[in-house]
Amino acid sequence: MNGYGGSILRVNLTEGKITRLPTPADVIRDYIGGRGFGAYFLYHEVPAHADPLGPENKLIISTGPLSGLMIPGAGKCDFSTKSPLTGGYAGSSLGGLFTAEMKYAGIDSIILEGISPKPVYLFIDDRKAELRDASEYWGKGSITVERMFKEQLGEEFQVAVIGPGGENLVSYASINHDYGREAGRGGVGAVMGSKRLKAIVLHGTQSVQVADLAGYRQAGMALFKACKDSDGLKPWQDYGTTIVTSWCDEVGALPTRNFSAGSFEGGPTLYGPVMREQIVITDKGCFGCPSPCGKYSRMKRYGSTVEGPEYETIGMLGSNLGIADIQDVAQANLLCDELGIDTISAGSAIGWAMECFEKGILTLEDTGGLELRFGNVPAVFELLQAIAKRQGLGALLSQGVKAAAKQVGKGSEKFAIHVKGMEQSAYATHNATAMLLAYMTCDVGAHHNRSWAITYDLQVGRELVVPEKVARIIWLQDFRPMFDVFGTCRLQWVELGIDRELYVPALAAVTGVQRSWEELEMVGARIWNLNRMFWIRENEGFGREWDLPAPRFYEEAPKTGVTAGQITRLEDVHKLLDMYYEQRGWSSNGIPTPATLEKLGLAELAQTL
Amino acid sequence: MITLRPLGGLKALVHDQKELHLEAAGCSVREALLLANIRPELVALVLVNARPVDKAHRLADGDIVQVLTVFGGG
Repeated sequence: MNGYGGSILRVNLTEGKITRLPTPADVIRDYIGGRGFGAYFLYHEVPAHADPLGPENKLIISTGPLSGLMIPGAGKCDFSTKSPLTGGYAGSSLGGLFTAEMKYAGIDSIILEGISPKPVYLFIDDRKAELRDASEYWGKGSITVERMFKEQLGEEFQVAVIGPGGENLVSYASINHDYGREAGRGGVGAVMGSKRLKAIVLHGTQSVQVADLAGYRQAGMALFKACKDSDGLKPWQDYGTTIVTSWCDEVGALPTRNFSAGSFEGGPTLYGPVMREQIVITDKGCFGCPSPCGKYSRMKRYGSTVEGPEYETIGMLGSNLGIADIQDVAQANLLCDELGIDTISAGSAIGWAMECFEKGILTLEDTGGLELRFGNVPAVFELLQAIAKRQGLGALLSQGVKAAAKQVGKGSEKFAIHVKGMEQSAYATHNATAMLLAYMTCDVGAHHNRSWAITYDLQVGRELVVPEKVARIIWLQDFRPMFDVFGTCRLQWVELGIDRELYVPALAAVTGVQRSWEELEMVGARIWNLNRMFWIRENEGFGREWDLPAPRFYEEAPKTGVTAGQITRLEDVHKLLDMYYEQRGWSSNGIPTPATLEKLGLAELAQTL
Repeated sequence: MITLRPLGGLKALVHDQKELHLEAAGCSVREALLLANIRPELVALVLVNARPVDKAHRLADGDIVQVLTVFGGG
């Protein structure tokens, strides 16, 4: 099994039983690894209509064939499950060092199932795997617990851990690693918490067999050389994802006060160069990274340090909450990390609550006396704690904006910014039709990493509703997530401009299987359609209505900023979906046709339609 | 005279030229970009003599201007 650890580790938490079985060859052939394995095992092993927080749901953690190898950014790990936030597929990617150690322990996927009668952690040291008592760690923050494990077991052990948010089943709880890396989206941490699994602590020393050692070295070095030679390397390393903060503000894509606008008057104090000058101490990369985009920051006012903040966090916990101080944003980031909750969803939930408060929909009685106005930093800190503990207003917000708005009503559903129940990440999509479609059709809900197209909107005309835009989104959705299948970071291709063809010989030399990008994109389309079928199977009446964006993006144009007065009309939203479904080979209600499923090797799923 | 160096994907917009020499001393960065037929809204980061500036920054003779776009997002 060239390029693979060779085994699937199945952990039944109800029975306390752990088994290792060989990784199935046909799953490798059809789904390759990483996110592909997650999608496959989720669809085929989790029974229909399973409670996301019940024993039948599974959390599947997968490496890819390039994980842990001498390939740029080969430190990505996939976490797939049925989402407690959306009721559909959740797939979240984690950087850092975890996936490499997992591969060296000979594991391609860890499948967690059942519910432990008491808090435990999973200990893995090469071939040894056991569940251990976690009562010492339960109730503590994720950074605190990671530090404890490192002190007790040694720095060579890598830790994936939940915080109080996961223990308390917050619908957008994260799984944290390396003091500041998260599998953040979709509530994967709540699923881990529901199983009473506090952490996975692992270390491996085994070699990974590759098919063609000389070819692997040559292809790996070619990729590293391309990264080193990229003239975008230095600025990317200096500023990381915060490069885009000022640009988003300039083009009206910076979420501001619950996405009511796309430009923020306090934006300049949050820009990348300002952050670099004021709080960044040093850079930090994941396993095998030649272009470390992570930043360690020191918040002097708070006497604290954090990894971050990334752009998404700056957008959602900064401008989206009317906060214009980078130290405040970084401190909120640290709180989320320790509590184990997703910064994007938390920022959206609090932004929605602030708008409710300013409109009189929520009162001081509802907020427990908090003056929940935009820009109120102490209120944000207090609310983050309340969300993680599910106390007071925090209990409402811990369910995510879709559920919270449904409960509160009074028109607040119109400014609950989500698709399919997942809070939209930090790109305001007023009059940016390609990016809007990307959010509408993303397979986890409104997340940006499958297809990102704001620059493309600007290049070709942001208001245009044309088939070429739709084709671009589909291409990105089939292609970009393949990096999560390989177990590598996409950012070398995305931001350094590395030729994607350089990955083809690397994959071939490692696995011994030659696959062109055309074939790889077919695998991407197979995974995309399989995930669509999971949504359909799990949600009665699933269809077009589920793909609609928040009404704010088609009913209410911003009043300020560069996108003031601009909006995408609802009829254009539907036109985008019409074209998307047609190009995907789906029905007019967004359901894959039997012919499409058959073309992708998923014919057996047609019976479930 | 200033030197404009498009980084990464922006080179594609100027026929893959690594640098352009422009009579743009006294112009803003935004004006210099327009002189080079690069739409300012496609530029995410501007470095003048290796220091980050905004697009309203006025250029001086001999400045080296590096500009970077973001094509892929996070």
